[in-house]
Amino acid sequence: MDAEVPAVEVRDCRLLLGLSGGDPVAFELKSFRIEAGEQTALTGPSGCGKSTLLNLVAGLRRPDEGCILVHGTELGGLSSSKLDTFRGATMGFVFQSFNLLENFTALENVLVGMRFGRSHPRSERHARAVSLLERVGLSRRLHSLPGRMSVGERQRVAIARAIANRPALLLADEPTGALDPATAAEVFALIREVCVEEHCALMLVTHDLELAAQLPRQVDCRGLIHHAAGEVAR
Amino acid sequence: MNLFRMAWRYLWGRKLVTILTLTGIALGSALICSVLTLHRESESGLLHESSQFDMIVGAKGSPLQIVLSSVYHLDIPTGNIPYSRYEALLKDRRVASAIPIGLGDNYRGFRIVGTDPRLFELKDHYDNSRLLLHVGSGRLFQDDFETVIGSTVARQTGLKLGDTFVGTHGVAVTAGSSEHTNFPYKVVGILADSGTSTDNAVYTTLPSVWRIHDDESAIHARMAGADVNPNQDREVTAVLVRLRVIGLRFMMVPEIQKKTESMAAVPVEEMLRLYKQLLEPMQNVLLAVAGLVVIVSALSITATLYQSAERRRRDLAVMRALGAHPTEIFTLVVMEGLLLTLLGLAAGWLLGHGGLAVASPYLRDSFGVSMAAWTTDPIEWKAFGTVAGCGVLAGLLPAILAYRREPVNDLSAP
Repeated sequence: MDAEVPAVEVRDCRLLLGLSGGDPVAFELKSFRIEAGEQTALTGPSGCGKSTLLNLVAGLRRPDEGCILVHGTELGGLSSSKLDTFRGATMGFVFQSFNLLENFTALENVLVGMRFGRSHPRSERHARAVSLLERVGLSRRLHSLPGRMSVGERQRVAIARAIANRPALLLADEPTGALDPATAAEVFALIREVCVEEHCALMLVTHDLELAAQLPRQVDCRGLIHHAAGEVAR
Repeated sequence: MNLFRMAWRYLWGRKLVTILTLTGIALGSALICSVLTLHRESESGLLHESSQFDMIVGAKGSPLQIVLSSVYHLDIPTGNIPYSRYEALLKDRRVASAIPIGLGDNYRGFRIVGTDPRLFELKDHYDNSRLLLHVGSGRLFQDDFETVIGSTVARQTGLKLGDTFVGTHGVAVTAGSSEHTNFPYKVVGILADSGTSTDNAVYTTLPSVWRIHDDESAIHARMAGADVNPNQDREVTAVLVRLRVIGLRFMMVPEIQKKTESMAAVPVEEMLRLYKQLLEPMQNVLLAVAGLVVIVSALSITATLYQSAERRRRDLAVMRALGAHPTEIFTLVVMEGLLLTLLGLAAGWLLGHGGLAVASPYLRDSFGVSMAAWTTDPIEWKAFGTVAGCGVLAGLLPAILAYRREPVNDLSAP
């Protein structure tokens, strides 16, 4: 990873969300950046736009104005298929509801992520997937289906899958929201550790201020995001 | 983890629906296999057997009846013709061979055919290196009341070489028919299995048939108080004719019709007519039913895949988030449809052809139809290709919907 290039750079983005009482409602995002390898917690109450911000950074939504750069690449300049490829190779996701593929074993979930991320030659994928699952403490659960695993184990699979492609940026949306406090603490620590090991920046959304305080940087989304009503430029 | 394996995982993840859909496709394609194979085998069997003789000369009546009774040993003969008619045909320079047959009795429903030993010297019309009738074990009859029996007759009656039996009056089993107990037949030969109607016949000399019925006529005459005429005119039921030039039949058939008391029928024409009028429409109906089954199966695949894609919206969105191209998602869904269809087709092929292979001995014994049950025709491959195409089309709608869907909303689904 190029340490000089920021992991994320947002430049005055504006996204039309819809209409309210006939007036357009827009989501405005102030400029900010996350440096390479930096671990940042995004906090704020429910509905303030944290997840929308993550989706914009992930390229799952495109802003109507402004631009977003991830690891030096402007997402708006990429075609849809190039954006998919870029996302798979550069970003990893950990969701609150895990979003594992229920028909696939733990090992296969990681392999599916690597298949679409295309970051490793096919011959190396299996060994890396196994070693990552061992790293997150699931060496005995490689061939278990998610439905037969505990919630903590499922989130560990999701973490292994998220970092399998050696992403420059890990996006975590309330990754401990569905876990009990003890498991949440373990998973949170694990996320931090693997990000350091893989030299990966972390952008973590949480409303748990205690967890957020453990990261080197905290950003309150209320100061970053503004919902505006009125004329929206397209 | 390739797309094929992923598609298989999704199919296996909903076993019951997959098995039910597979069953629908398999039954439809098995029906297609069976109908097409039966169509091919019955058509080629009918044409092969009916083409062995260019012309059949028999008593006036239905030409189809003459053909069915003298070639296929079915139906009642139209009557008899004078032996002199056969002699006249023998002398006709246009005739390559003329074989007389005399019918009148049966053994447990199998017809006893009085004929000339020259029938056993005739070559197969399609393969000159093979005899039309091949004695598989024993020898050809030489004396009266010696018989060569068909392979099905041997199997079903249990008759062996050296066994004797008596014939029953009439060409078919009827209640109260008398047995010719004074004239026992002896089995001296058994025909090799041919898969034709000859498997269902008992062959003996023509004089054997005459002698039994001479005796019967004498008894009837005595009972009626009339004199017995030992020099009564001989008759035959039909004459199987091969011509020197096949086209001569167009001249000879109307000639025999006009100038003699008998008539001539062209077996291949009669059988084709029967086939077109009776069997082909039935087979077309069956094919239409098979087509409907396949269409229903294709709709079922569409519904299954659509439902599956809907249920997997979150999975597909996760794949997009992991870097999957829309084309990969599209391919994955279409591949599921194709995989389902190909598996159904393979099962249907096995079921259809395997079923025919199992039923083959029964079909041979009951209808004299011998079939190459595992042979697959090009038309069958085309039909299968069409079904596979339906499978792909069935997968297209859910695939297009999955391709177009934006993943962002589905990621947050519970």
